[in-house]
Amino acid sequence: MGWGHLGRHGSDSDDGTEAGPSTAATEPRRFPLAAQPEMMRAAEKDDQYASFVYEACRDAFRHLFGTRVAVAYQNETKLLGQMLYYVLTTGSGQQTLGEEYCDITQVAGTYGLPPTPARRALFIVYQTAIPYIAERISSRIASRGIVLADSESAEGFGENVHRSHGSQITGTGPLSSSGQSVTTLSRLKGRLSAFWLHFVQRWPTMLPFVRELLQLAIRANLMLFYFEGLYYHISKRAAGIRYVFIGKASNQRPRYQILGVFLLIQLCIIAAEGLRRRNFTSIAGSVHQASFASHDRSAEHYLPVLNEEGTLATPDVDKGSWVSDSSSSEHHAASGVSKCTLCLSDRQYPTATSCGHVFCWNCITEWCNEKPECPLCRTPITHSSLVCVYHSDF
Amino acid sequence: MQASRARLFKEYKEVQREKAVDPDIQLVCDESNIFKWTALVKGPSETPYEGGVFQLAFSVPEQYPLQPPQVRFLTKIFHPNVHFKTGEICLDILKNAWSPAWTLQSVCRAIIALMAHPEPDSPLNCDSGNLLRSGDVRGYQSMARMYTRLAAMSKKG
Repeated sequence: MGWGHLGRHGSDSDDGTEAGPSTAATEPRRFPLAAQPEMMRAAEKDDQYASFVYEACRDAFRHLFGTRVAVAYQNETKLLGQMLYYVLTTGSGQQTLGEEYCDITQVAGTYGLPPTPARRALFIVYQTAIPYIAERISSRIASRGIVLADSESAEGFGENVHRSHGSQITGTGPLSSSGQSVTTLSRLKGRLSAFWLHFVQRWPTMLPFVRELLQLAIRANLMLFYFEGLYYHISKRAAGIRYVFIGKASNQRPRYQILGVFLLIQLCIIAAEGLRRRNFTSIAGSVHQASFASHDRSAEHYLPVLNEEGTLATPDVDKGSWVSDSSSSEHHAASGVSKCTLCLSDRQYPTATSCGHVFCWNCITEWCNEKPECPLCRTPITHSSLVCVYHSDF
Repeated sequence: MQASRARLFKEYKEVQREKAVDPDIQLVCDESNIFKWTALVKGPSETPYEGGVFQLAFSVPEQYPLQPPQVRFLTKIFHPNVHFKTGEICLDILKNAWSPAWTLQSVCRAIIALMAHPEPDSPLNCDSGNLLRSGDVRGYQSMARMYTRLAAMSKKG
C-alpha cells in the first residue's frame, strides 16, 4: 500500500504546483470527491467491460464443453466473468477501466487513503458473490418449499404430520429430562427446525415481497447517492469505498439533488400507499364483519315481523337463505343468453363470427391467434371477419 | 393465467351446481390447486367397462382454454386408444381438434364416448387394437372386462 500513498502525495504536490498558487500551500490538500455523473459513468463502463469478460468466458465455455453445459452453468460463468474483471482491476489495487475513463479512484476511511486489500476483497465479494449466492439459496429454498407443499397436498394430511412432528419434539423433551442442558438444547433445535420448516414453506409466497423490499432498498440507496454523492452501489456502501476525482479540475459539475428529491417523493408515496392499503384492508375487514353482524341482526329483526304477517314468506327466511338466494340468482343469469362460451362469464364487447356465433372480443381474438376456426362449429374464420357487435341489445 | 383461473372457477361452480345432472361423472378440483382436477367416470353400459369406475387425472395448462387440458387414466384400462402403462389417451379433441368451447365436464363425456366406441385404427395399446382389427371382438371384450374387474371395481364386489 506504500506506493499508493506515495503516489498520491506525489500527484498532490504536482497538482499544487500546476493548478494554482492561490490555496495550495497552507493546509494539506485533498482531492475533491468525485461527482455523481463520473461515478455513474464509471459504473456503467465497468458493467460493460465486465459483460465483455463474461461473454468471453461464456464463449470459451461453449467451445470447451458444448452449448448444453454452457447454458446450464450460465450463472456460474457470469459470476466467473465478473469476479475475474473485478479481481484483475480492483483486486490488484488498480483502477477499473471505467474509473480510469472517468479519472476517479477509490479511497476509504476517514483520511481518504486507498482501500486496503481486505476491504477490496470484501467489496468484490459483495459485488459479485453475494447476489449469486443469495439467488441460489433463495431458488433452492423456493423449490424445496414447493416440493414440500406439493407433497403435503398430495398426502392431504399435511397439518397432521406437522402436528405429530411437533408433538414428537415436545414429547422427547420430558423423556430425556435427566440432562437439563440436553433437553433445552434439543428443544431449541426442534423449535429451530420447526421454524425452518415453516420458513421454507412460506418462502415461495414471500419471495415477491422480498424482491420488492430489495428493490426498495436499492432505490433508497440511489436516493442517498443522489443526495450525498458517495456510494453508487450498495456493495460499495457496505465496503465503505468512496471515490475521489484525480483529473484536471474542470468546470462546474452538475449534481443530482433534484433527482434525489424525486426519488424521495416516490418512496414516500410508496410507503404511504402501503400504509393506507394496510389500514384499508383492516378497515374493510372490520366493515365486512360489521355489515355481516348488522345483516344478521336485521334478519333476526325481520323474522318475527314476517311471522306476525303470516306463514307465506317464512320458508324463505332461514339461516342459509343468502347462499341459496345468490346461487339461484346466478342460475337465472346463466340461463340468460349473454354468456360467452369461452370464458363462461358475461360477454364483454360481444363479437360475432361470420357463422353467427357470439363471443367476447378478447376470447375470440385470442383463440383466433391459436387456430382460425369457430370454437363452436369449426367454420374457418379470420381476424378480419370478426365483427364487434356494438349496437346490439343482448 | 388470470383468464384461465377465472374460467376454471366458473367451471368449478358449474360442476357444483350440476352435480346431480350427470351421475356418471364426478369431477373434483384439487383442494389447493385449481389447475389439478380428478374425475371418476362410470364405464358405459353395454360395454366391457360396465360396472367399473375409472379415475382420470386432469392437468390444466395456464393457457387454458386456448390449450387443451392433459388427461390420463389413473385406473388401468384395456382400451385401444389408452396407453396401458401411462394411461395416456389418444383423443383428437385433446390434441389438434381442441376447441375452447369444451369444458372439463364435456371432456369427461367425450372420454366416456371413446370408451364406448374404441378407434382401433390409431391405437396406443397395440394388443387391444390388433384384437379388434383382426375381428376378435370377443377376445377384446373379455380382456377389457377382466381388467375392468381387476382394476376398476371395488374389491368387495
